[in-house]
Amino acid sequence: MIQYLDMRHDRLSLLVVLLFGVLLIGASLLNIYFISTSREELTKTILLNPSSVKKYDHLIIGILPLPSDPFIANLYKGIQSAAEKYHQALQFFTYDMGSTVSTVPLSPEAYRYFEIALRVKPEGIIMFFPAGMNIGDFINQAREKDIPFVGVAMDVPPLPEARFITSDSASHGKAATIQALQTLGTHARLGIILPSRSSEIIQEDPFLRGALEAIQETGYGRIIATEREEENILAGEGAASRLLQDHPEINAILCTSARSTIGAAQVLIDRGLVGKILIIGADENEEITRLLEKGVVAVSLVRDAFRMGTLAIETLTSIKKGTYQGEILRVTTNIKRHGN
Amino acid sequence: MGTSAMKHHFRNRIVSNSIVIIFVLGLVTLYTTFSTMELVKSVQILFSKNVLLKTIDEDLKKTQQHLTEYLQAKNSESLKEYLKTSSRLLEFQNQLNRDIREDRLLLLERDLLLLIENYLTYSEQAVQAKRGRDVTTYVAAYEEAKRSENSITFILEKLNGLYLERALQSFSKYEQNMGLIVSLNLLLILISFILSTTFTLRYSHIITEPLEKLSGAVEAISRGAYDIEIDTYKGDDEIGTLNQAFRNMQRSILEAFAELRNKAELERQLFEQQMQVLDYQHKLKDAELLALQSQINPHFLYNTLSAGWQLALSQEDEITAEFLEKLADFIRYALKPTNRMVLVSEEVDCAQKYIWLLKLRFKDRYLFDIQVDEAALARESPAMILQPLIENAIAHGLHDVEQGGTVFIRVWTEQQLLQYEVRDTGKGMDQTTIEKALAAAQAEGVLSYDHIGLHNVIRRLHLYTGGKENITIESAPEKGTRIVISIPQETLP
Repeated sequence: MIQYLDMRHDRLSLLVVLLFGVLLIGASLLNIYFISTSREELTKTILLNPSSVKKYDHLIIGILPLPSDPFIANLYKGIQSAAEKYHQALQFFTYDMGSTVSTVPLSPEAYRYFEIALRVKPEGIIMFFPAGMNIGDFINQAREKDIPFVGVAMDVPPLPEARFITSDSASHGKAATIQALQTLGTHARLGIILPSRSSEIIQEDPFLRGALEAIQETGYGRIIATEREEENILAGEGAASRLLQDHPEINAILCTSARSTIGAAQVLIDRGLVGKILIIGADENEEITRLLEKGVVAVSLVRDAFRMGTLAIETLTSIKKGTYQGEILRVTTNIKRHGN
Repeated sequence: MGTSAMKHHFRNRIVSNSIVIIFVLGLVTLYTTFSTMELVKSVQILFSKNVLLKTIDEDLKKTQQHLTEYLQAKNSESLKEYLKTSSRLLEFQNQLNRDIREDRLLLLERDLLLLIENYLTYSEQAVQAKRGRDVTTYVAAYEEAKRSENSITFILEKLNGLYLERALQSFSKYEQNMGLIVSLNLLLILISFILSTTFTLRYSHIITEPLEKLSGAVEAISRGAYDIEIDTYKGDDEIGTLNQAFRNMQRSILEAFAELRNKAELERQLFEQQMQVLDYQHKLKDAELLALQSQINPHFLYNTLSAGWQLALSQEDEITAEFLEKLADFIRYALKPTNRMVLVSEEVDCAQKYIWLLKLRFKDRYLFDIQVDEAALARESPAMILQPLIENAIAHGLHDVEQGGTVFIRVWTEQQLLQYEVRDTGKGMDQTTIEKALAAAQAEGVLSYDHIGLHNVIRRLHLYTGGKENITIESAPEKGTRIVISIPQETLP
């Protein structure tokens, strides 16, 4: 008997072809999915459609150091918050200013950004300046281009100009000293970690001047020694160690930055001096909050950088409106304790 | 048209299978090409902004170079080149964002755009001042343009870095997907290769298998296996046609063989019949010869008896004369050829003469009861049927019975049958003798001398009727024998 295969009912072949079809379609769909997800990723960046992004009528340029310091970070937040409130777009030109933003000279990059800002003609420029810097030229150039300009600094510059938002290191130093004196009384023997090169003559340092003013006013307590922070990440530890090593009688350390506060606290922990030596800190961040909770740091005096940011935007707005009075605006220093 | 189309089915199948394979491979090739192009396109997109920025940078540098050359030498060629490159820079405006948007890169793009416009404004001022020979203005404008160029370069660097950073961020996600896509493509290529190979092998088998089967059938038939069963091929292609033609051929061969066998059988039967006829003729001759041998020259005897009858008449011996007359008549009847047809009346007359002769010899030792149906007398019958049966009854039935006996003779017709019955009250016949007598009709060779008369009658009747006669022999020891012969009238010649 000779039998033939039935070609017309070759279902296996049909099944194989169908299977392939399903695989091909599946692979194509997967491929399309992968490509589309990749494209989606690109649409967030490279292929970003400008029309999909919120549009503003006014642009404010902020020329600020990178937010490596809690003070600067809060300044950013303040500016952003107020810009949002006044419906103004923000463009930050950021630059690296080293570890101690308040003291080093202005970065060349910042100058370039300032020049660019002048050429693109925004509705306002906010620029941060290190302590002791003359900002007159900046204000004049901006005025020439008819661009509202506001400077921001930790302390009032040597030649005070209008259109300036600042905190006050002297007030800060005074408040910190009063905190130490109130805690230690007449036995207060203070060591102060000053910012690096905040002034050529140490006696002219505004923080130190404020501290001395407090001692004079109260009539007790002594400043045993001061140390300047160095330009490195462990500058706080270095300065605190030197103070304690050279002057073991010190029972309170006053700090001027978050970095020096954390460094001094670390030294106390390492040497088992927590509770024996008082730390009056500066600024606030998570680590300082933790140290406050543990009682390593007694109090921390926080300059209101956030307020400085909001004030900068408000000032630009009032300049634009023509209601600006020309005064230098100062923000207060808040005392932060465990629990508040 | 239908036939033509049908003839192309096989080719169509091969073509369609090839198309399926080509289609599968083509699809996969298209698919991989598509995905590769998409990947390449994606990479191009990734770095498209960097490419744009690089082009801007190059055109800016060229513009600045040509501007400087023109301002230095007031070279028309430099001016031409400056205008060309500055126009190109202007064209980039369309590719850069102009609006204030809440995105760092878009804002930087806007800065770049404004800086380029700023640069072009100052450079144009410088060119115009140069044409107007206003040295102070073109120097100042050139300085501004130079500063703008530096700012543009600075922004370009920043933008390049940021776009590159974003491209790299996207690329890390992309790379993951690309790996999956490449793996998927490889898998698909592998699957399509396996599928195509399987498909090719399978269809090669499907297409060649019927041919192989058909080839096997041809080979089997060539070996002589004409009755090999070939399945009906269901496809309506060339193989179907071949299969049908082959099956038809096989059926024709088988029919031709059957016809030849039938013819041979018929010829064999005819030959056997001829041989049988020859055998009958031969046996008839034998019977006649035997009859002749059993008698001495009958003509001489008849003539002698006639002479005796005349002598007896001359001497007035009437009984002898009657004896001789009846004997002579009987012998004359008996000596005629036995293969003739006679009237039943003649047979009865012969039988009566024979009985008269027997009575003359045996007086009243044997009695005879004859009953003949009048209607039967006119019928025809083979000659010499009744007398040999009577002779057989006397010679073998009653001869050895001391007190003698009776022979009952009856002739009658029944429908188309002519019936002879001879019954005696003698010693009877054993079964072997009966069987032997009945077998005489079929028996080969020379007749036996025992019951020769009976045997002779039976064989002759068989020859006359072609075997359609019916002969019944019933016998019981010491009670007699009854022989009934039925002759179908239509069988007689």
